[in-house]
Amino acid sequence: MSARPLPRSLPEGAPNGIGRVGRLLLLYWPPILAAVLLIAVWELAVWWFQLPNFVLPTPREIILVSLEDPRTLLQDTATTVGEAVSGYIAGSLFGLLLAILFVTWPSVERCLLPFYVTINSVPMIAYGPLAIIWFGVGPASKVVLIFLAVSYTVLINAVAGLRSCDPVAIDLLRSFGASNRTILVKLRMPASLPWIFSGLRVAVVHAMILAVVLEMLGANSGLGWSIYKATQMMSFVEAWVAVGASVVVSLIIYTIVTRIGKRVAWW
Amino acid sequence: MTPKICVKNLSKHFTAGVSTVQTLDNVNLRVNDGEFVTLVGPSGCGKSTLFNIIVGLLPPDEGLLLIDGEQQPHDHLLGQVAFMPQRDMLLPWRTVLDNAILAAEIDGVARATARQRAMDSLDRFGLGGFESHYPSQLSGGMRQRVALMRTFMFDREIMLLDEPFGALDALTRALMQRWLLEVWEGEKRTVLFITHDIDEAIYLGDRVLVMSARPGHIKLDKEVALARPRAPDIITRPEFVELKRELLATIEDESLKAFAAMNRSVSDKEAGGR
Amino acid sequence: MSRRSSIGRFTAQLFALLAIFVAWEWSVWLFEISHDKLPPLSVVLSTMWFDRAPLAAAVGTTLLEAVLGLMAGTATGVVSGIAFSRSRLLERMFLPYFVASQAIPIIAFGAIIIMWFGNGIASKVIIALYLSFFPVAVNTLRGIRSVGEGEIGLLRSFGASPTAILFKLQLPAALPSIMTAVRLGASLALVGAIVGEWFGASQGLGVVLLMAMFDYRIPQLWAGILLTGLTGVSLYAAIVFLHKRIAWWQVEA
Repeated sequence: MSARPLPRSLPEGAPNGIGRVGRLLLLYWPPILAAVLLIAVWELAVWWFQLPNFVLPTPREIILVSLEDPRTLLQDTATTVGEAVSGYIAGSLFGLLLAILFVTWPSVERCLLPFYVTINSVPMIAYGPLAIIWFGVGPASKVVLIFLAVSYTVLINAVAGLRSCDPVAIDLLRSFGASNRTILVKLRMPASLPWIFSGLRVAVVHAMILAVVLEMLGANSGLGWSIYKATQMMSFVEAWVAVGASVVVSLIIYTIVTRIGKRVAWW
Repeated sequence: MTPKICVKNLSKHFTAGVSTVQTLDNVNLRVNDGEFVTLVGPSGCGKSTLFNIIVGLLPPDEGLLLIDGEQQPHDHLLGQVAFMPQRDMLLPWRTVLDNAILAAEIDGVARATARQRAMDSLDRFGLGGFESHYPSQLSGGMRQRVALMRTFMFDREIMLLDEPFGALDALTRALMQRWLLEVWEGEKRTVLFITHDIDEAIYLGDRVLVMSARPGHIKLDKEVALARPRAPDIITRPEFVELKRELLATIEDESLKAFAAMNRSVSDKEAGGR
Repeated sequence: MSRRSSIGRFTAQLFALLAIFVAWEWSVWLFEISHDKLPPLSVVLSTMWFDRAPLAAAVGTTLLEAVLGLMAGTATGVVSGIAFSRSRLLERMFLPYFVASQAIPIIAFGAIIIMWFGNGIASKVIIALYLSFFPVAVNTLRGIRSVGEGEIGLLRSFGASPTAILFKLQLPAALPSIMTAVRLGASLALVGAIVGEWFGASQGLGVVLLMAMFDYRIPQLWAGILLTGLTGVSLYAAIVFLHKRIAWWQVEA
């Protein structure tokens, strides 16, 4: 889902030498204002209505508590990120491989794709309890499901991308005597990169959602597990800390993938 | 006689980044009640800008606009003139009938009344039996007729038509011109009609205005002394050909200027890019 | 997509489904897989039949939560999309967060919703609501912004007020992109309802899945999975049907 991009250039007549921070402020003051307003209203509401912190802790409290025990928080984050990233990388590679197979031999696609679609027409989280029974409460159960979900998303996008290039261009290369492999490497693969990266971006979110949600079902550590424990003890602050951490981590991974995508598929 | 539309010393410029483009420069024109006036000019001479100002979509920089002798502030114009833009702009989710009544509906006419009125005139617009078709099911000529019908259904004394037949093939275009004249002769509204086709301008108009290259102003105002109703073969008559020759000379001159200006700006850009 | 090839795809899908079911049934017998790991399909189906009343109730509860949430999310999403289209400042202030919400596991906030609103149906509806809200809001704005200047100018020349332009032009033009977001929202709403049920509920597909896991009842677990898939596919198909009915002139893939 793309938004109207914010203006990249400076408004005319902006003073010179205002520095990087000033320039960012000039460009992004509305969302920053929104955040400041939201936090102010939040803090004020808690203070005004004397809300006990088990109902709505203030942002300050959330940050303070998260700094109280950084070891546990880091450990939980590491578990979740580890599951998400390993399932993500394996799933992406597998999805890409499968996409190339599908495009090279359409008969493989006709045999395999319907099965893949069938498995994925059930919301992936519904397999969660089964995965935990089959693969235990450890990271394995999460990695398997993330692998399945990510490979599917990447596969569908990559196939669409590999098929997206202009048939005239293919004919042109063929008329130069190019082999199927040359066409794949020289034309199809570069043309599909933007598609693949849009699949890879969406898959980041899938991976993070699955990691967190499956941990809520059962785990030894992890942000989702921490959220679950917090809700059972009605410990609002800890729930907020873990939710906040999952948001931050997800944004970081998403930004990294987007950056790589812009570098590789700059057009 | 007070003219229906009177434009006095109208000017308009646009600013894009640092450069300013003078689009209209001191345009003067008048259209009498019930008159069919056609406006020709080289592409990019500001014809559509002129229309947007008369319709009220754009404010002029300078100049006056009088309708029935009364001066019109820019923000009073919207809703006063039946305007038909170049593209048909039919709404894909509305049937032929509902597209035709769109303007009337916005004008406050009850849907049922508007529909009934439209049903009665479908045949006249050559759309009988197509009332519940959708735009995507129609040919270009028919879509244009729906757009024209929408303009006619918007009950205003003045109609501004911006190259309504520009995108049609020659044969369809000839049929549409004949048909438009028939409809117009039945209603005798005041029409200002933009075209880049000189034959069309002479065939349809009581008067032909030629606009200059940018910055646009009215270069030539020529009466068309051909009797109505006009037969299709009128375009081969000597009076027609003589008129066409005169207009062509003027327009060619202006088109060459426009072309030269275009080339100049392109080479400027290239030079700037180096 | 031509009608013929979509029928072809449908047949292939149906065939694959049957093949999966047959393979499932036979491989369990053939390889003597422990029923504790994977019960044969026939066992799952007979479990489903045996438990049909509670299972139907579970599907009904979850579907109700998801649909209510989806409807409320769509309504609030459309309204905020309209608000964004009217105010550039509002858009610049909040849209970046709406877009960013697509890059984070916002479902995690569901835990907090549960703590606030308790174990009843309301908390699940709210989770489904906010999950479907964001894509609908973003796509409503996109759809409204996709209307050309020319079309707006034409309606203004007819003397149309901003409200008339919104209802006669911009909203209808935005319908296809809104419906695309609702499709996405439907899947999210179902997931939201099920995850919400995991935190505590008395009835629903999430409860079926969770209890089967705790009690190690694999046939029930599979019944839950199959029913979740069936519910998801039906909900999605219903939205696609609706999409083709009300925004038939432009159905985005």
